[in-house]
Amino acid sequence: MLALFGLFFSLLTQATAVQFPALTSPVVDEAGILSSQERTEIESWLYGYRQSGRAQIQVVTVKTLGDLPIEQYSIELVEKWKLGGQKTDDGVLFLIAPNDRAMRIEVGQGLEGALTDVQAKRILDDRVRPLFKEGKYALGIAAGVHDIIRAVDPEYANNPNPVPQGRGKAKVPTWLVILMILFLIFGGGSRRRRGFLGGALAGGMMGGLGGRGGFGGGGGGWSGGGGGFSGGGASSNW
Amino acid sequence: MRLILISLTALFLTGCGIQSIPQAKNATEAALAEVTNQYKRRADLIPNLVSTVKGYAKHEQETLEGVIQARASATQITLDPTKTTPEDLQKYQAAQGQLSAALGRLMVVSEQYPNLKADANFRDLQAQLEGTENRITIARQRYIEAVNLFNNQVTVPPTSWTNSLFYHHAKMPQWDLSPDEKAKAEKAPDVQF
Repeated sequence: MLALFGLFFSLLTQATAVQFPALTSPVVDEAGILSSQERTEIESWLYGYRQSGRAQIQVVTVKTLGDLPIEQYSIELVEKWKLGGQKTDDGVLFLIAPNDRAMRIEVGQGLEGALTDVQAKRILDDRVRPLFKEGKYALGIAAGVHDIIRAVDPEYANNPNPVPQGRGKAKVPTWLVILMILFLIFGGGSRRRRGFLGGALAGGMMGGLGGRGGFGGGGGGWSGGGGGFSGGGASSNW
Repeated sequence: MRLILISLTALFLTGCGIQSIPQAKNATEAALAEVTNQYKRRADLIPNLVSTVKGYAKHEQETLEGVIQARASATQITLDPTKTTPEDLQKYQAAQGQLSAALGRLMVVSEQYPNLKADANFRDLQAQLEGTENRITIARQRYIEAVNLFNNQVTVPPTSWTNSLFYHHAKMPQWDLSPDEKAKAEKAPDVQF
């Protein structure tokens, strides 16, 4: 209770200048507690889950919470990353701060009914905590993710053919497309010049579309869709 | 020509804010409604909590009574976000602050009953209470932001000119802690081992 008063008081008095990691992939391991193989396995799992039209689950480990209570750090991070879809609000953040031995599951507004505060607390206390206490970070994270998925899956049960998220095509700005079309129509001048320009632009566009994968193995990008959070979830430590 | 230019500029400047001022006001009302929503959510958890604790800590009648009464007073005061005066908000906050204090005492007392702490129902209720308190904190933070945005609309030109011409909204007072909560927050927490 007092911790929460402290949280509120600090919200009033502190100007937070905490650095948040960048959202590059479904598993952002700033604290470096996962091996690169463990990380890529969990990444493909979560990426595939999102691609199937279901929740955007994010794992992040941080080196420091910067003196912020984990609840405050978590809400600022999800407001920055905007996990989940704008209309569906189906983002979930699994935040781990190994140096503070603290963790939190932050649940998006759309999933609060499926992954309740009580369930989040149980996942952290009963499933993840024993594994983390033994230093088994990868196993603990995998167990947590597994239970999160099991909790939110029923939300999508009525949707047998969920709309898969686009493969994150790199966006070509509209003005560039218009410019290209104009070039092609009014290329004018000598044939040779037009051919060169057209070729150069086409090459540039293909390069832009050629999957600026944010992480190895994926062709598409990974970013938040504007989902909302209102503070649901649970925190724990080990 | 110059007249046209001047009148166009005037029109443009006063056009700023025609939409955004009422939108900002509506946003503050929505934010306040969300705050009261979360407080209500907390109040709804309490009867269950009281009966669970009673099962293990029959002798803590005084503390339990305190919570029941604080809850009753808090739920009696309702806020209509569209017509809330600063005094209404103060009264509401004070009642909620007293409920927070009573709940705090109850949780401290519960620490002394290992069987209660081990009870699965009690653990679930604790998780729900913590989640609700977090939601309350975040709802209040967002209310403060909404009030700030509105006040900026109303005091900063050019939207402030539109306000003086058409809407005549006063600046809203910023949200503040109730006196109980202030006293508690300013007192250093009692650490007992």
